[in-house]
Amino acid sequence: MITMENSANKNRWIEEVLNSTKGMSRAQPPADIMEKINLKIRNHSVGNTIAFPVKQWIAAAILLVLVNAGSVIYFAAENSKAKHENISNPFATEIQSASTYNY
Amino acid sequence: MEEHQQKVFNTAISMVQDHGAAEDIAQDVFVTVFKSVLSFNEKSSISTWIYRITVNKCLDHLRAKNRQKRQGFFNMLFHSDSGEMAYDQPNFEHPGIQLERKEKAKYLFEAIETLPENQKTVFVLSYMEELPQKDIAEIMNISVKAVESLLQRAKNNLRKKLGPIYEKEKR
Repeated sequence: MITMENSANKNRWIEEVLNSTKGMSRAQPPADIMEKINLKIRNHSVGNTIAFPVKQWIAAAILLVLVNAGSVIYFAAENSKAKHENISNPFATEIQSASTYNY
Repeated sequence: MEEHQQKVFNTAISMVQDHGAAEDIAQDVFVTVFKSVLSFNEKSSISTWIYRITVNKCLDHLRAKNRQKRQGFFNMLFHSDSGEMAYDQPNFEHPGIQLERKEKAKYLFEAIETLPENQKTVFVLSYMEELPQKDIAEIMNISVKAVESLLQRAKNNLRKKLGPIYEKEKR
């Protein structure tokens, strides 16, 4: 008898707990939430409009540096090749000019 | 707008049981709404769409929290400085609950924490937001039958969790 009563009490208590949120009102967000959301949205849109040109500028700068570095390396290599050719064959011009005597 | 804010905040606080996290989620939801309003598919209502974003953000938050818990289990168990046991949000109090029901609602939220994701979502949308099952089905992208079954399973699981709490409280 006592066990049945206990069980009924337990079940009643469980049902009361399950229904304890009935008639509850919605939790109110903080008063300044709209300001914070607006700020985030503004930051997001500013971030979008600024971040893209910054990326483009960085890409352009890298490209410029690479083109410059490439041309410097190319001309340096050409220069040293020309010097090397001059040193290794000092009579090249003479040979070239000598060959014209045949005409 | 204000009504949507309340819906979002109430759903978030009921799901994550943390005031600060709920506020962050609410802000994120509205930024996402702003970002993707052009891609909003008018097949569902705006309210359903906002609820769906909110639920997804809450589940992301809960998953991240669970991951953190798993990774730093020992660090979380004890505070490194005091050596005291660290409890994870004991006694969450929903601010909208009537005073005379606050004590019982605390037990309910404690038990809700242990439910699987889907059951928790269905229970919160049904009991805290008081949405009809048809709307819940649309938000969760499942059938009404599935919502019914999830709600039944959630209630059964909650009853199982609440039983031992009753015994402990009676002692």
